[in-house]
Amino acid sequence: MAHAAIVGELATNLVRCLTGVTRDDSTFGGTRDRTIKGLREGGRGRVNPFEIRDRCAGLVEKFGVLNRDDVAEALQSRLDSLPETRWIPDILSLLLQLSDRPLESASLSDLDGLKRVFSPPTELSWEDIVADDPLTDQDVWGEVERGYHSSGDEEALDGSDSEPTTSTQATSFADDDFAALARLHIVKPDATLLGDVRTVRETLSRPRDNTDAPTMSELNLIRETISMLRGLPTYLFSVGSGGVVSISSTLCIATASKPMLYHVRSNFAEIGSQLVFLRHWTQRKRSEAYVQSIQAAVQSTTGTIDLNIGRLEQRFIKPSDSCVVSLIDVRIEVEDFTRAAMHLSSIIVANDRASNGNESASFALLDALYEEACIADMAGDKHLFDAIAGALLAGVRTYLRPVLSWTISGDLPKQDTDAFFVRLDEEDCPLGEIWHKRFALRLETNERACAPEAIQPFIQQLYAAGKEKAFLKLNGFEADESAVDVVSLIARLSMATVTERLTTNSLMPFNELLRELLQDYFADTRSPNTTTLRTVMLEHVDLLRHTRALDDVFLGHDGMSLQAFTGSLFSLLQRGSSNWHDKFFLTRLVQSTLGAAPSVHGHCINVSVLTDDNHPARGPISRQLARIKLAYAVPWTVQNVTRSADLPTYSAAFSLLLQIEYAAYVLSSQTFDLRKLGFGWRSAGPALQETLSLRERLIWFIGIIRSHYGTVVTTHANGLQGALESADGIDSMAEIWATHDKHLRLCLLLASNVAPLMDAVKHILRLSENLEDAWLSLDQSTSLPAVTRMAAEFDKNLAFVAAGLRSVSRAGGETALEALAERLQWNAG
Amino acid sequence: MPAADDSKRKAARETIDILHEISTLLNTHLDRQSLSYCVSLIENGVNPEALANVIKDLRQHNPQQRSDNGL
Repeated sequence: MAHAAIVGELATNLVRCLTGVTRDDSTFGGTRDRTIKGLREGGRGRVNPFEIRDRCAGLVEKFGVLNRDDVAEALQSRLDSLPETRWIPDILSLLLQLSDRPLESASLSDLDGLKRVFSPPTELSWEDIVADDPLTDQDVWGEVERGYHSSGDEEALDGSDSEPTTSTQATSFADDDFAALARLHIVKPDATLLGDVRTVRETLSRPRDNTDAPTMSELNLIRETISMLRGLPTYLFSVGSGGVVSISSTLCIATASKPMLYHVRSNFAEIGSQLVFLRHWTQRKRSEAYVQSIQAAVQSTTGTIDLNIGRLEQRFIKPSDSCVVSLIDVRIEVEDFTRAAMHLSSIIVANDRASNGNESASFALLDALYEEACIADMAGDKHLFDAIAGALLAGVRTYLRPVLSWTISGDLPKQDTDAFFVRLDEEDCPLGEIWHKRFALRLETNERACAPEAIQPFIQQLYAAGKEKAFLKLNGFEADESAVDVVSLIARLSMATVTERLTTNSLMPFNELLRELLQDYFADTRSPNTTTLRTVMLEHVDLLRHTRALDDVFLGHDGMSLQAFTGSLFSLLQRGSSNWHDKFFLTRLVQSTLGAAPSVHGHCINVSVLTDDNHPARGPISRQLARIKLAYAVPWTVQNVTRSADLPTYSAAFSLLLQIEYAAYVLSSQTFDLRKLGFGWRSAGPALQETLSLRERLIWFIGIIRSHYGTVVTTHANGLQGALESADGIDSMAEIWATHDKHLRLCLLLASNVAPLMDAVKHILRLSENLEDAWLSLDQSTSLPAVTRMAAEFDKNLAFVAAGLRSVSRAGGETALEALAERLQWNAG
Repeated sequence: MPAADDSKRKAARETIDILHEISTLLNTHLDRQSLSYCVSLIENGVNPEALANVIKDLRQHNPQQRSDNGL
């Protein structure tokens, strides 16, 4: 009964512990009764201790097989610590039956949470003292001598006699025993921890033949692989002369077949090879600054890989949770964080191969990175894109530094000039050609500018910007380099900016985004207070005034000034004065007449008279007029627009103008006064009629030519002024001037393809002079044939000119020539 | 003998500690007190298999206590 009561009591407590139900609960009684009944009905069967022992051993072995060596050891040690009592097998049987998936959920950290019940030491009692030392000795009850235990009689204890304690020695210095002090603080490492590693090393370092494949654990294999990935020498992998990592020895592991193990090790060897290549490439000495920046970016990538390898390694050295040791898992993880680096490695290898080791081959590496970044962006591979674009932008930032200097100050870089897209072409060219000839674009063999692909769309803009700064510097306008914050400008070309832009506009392709970034970058290189070339040309150089001056001096834009000049000149010529070809006289005459216009600087005018085989000193006055060469000294800045100091079109136009004006002067002079003929005109008869008729026609022709000349000059002058005012730079100004010059040449029949027409016109103009001579010696018998001949020449040349003008205007589309042809054909019609 | 009793008690406590650690490794969800009661029942002749069935039955019919017992 007592036994049943004990069991009942224990069962009650057990029920309360397991269910939390108290005696007050209504279900407690039923639960307790059911429990007691279940315990009684179980009988008194004993378990087989050997079976229990085998089951426990099997469980320990299972832990070992599943690489839970720590749990296996802990369990085994506790089993071994159990006392050998009769009830232990039963208790173990109970625990085994209640176990719930221990292989999956067992953890040593759970044991740390267990707290052993602290049992305070038993208090010392009199019974224990008496039991230990019975008070039977008579001397115990003897009288005690007074003062025996007086502290005053005690000798002072010498501290050196006492045995040193740890606490004493830790806080006080012994006189000469620093070694002992140090030994107390030395933590001796447990040498047995490296036993496994030493065993493996000894196994692998032994000379073996190819058939010998030692078995090693997966953990050791992972250790060797991680060392190889770090670039360290290992027994399992060898590094060839080209940095190629290969498998150096065969081995087996218990958890994988040989072919699979070989395949996995080959994968690691390939990754290792590429990492070795990258590490060597980043150490290569390169002269190009942008390549050095790319090397730094790649080195940062390999540094991140090394950190990841370290974290991976730490997981196995200091496992915090249940750590699965799997070579496949390690391979997957390594492949993931080395993927970007592998791609970078393949790009660099391909670039090296394509350049055949020629390290000075243009910007192939930058172009390859640019292309791969675009592809990675389109593919949506952010990790790969970040790595490649990071390296690309590092190189672009460094490349743009000298470009930035060029666009801000117009100075070419002093070093590494062979890779810069601008070169010094003619250092000593004249100032009038400086814009077009001092600098030139450096071109590659395929006529492409020597610059990376990403910069190609901006080449002309950058080239013109730098030339502009150099040009302005020569004009005395120094660039304010401090106005541009170079550091922050360069820093804007970063992955942070790219990521931000992609976040706000995720659909924009990378090439468009980079173009936009570069556009903003180059726009910001121009300081807001910078004087522009256009402003300098229009306001400081006063380009428009100089072009108006050219019109006034060469093209007779001011009719009154022209009239004053030609009147004086022609009267000198007709008087036969020998001084007319004196250049000083002519210069003074031009300066006082044509040079009086408000836009003209008279001191810039210079007149010379040519004397060569093409310009004989004697002959008809119209031919003599062609010897007069007018020159106007425009500033060198304007010469960069006109591309010529001599202005051949304007000189030819001036010469033509003089001939036209002389022909008009001759025909309208008093020479053709009938009263001067006296009574001889009656005998002239038909000759006189013919002469007067021809004169009228010549006056008509010259009037048309003068009108055409004036219209063309005025129209082109107005158009030129407007176009130059709206031009944005010297290149566009020069292009406008060239177009204007070409049209002027064509419309004034000064072009080489219409030279026959001009000859015909000049022939007609010379007829005026001939007619004058004929008028002065007018006679019926001799003058009529000459005049008739002149009339025939006039008609022939007129028809030729009209027809020629018609065909030229149709071919060239010049409306002025078409109008002239129509007007000339009215007479013919 | 008090000293002997103390040593016995100490040995018993150590045995229970070891059994509790084994119980934890095997994930039996028994706390120390429950384990002590189980050991006492077995030492009083209760069949371990019957005891295991009873414990499972108690857990099954009282699911709200499973979290307290570590289930």
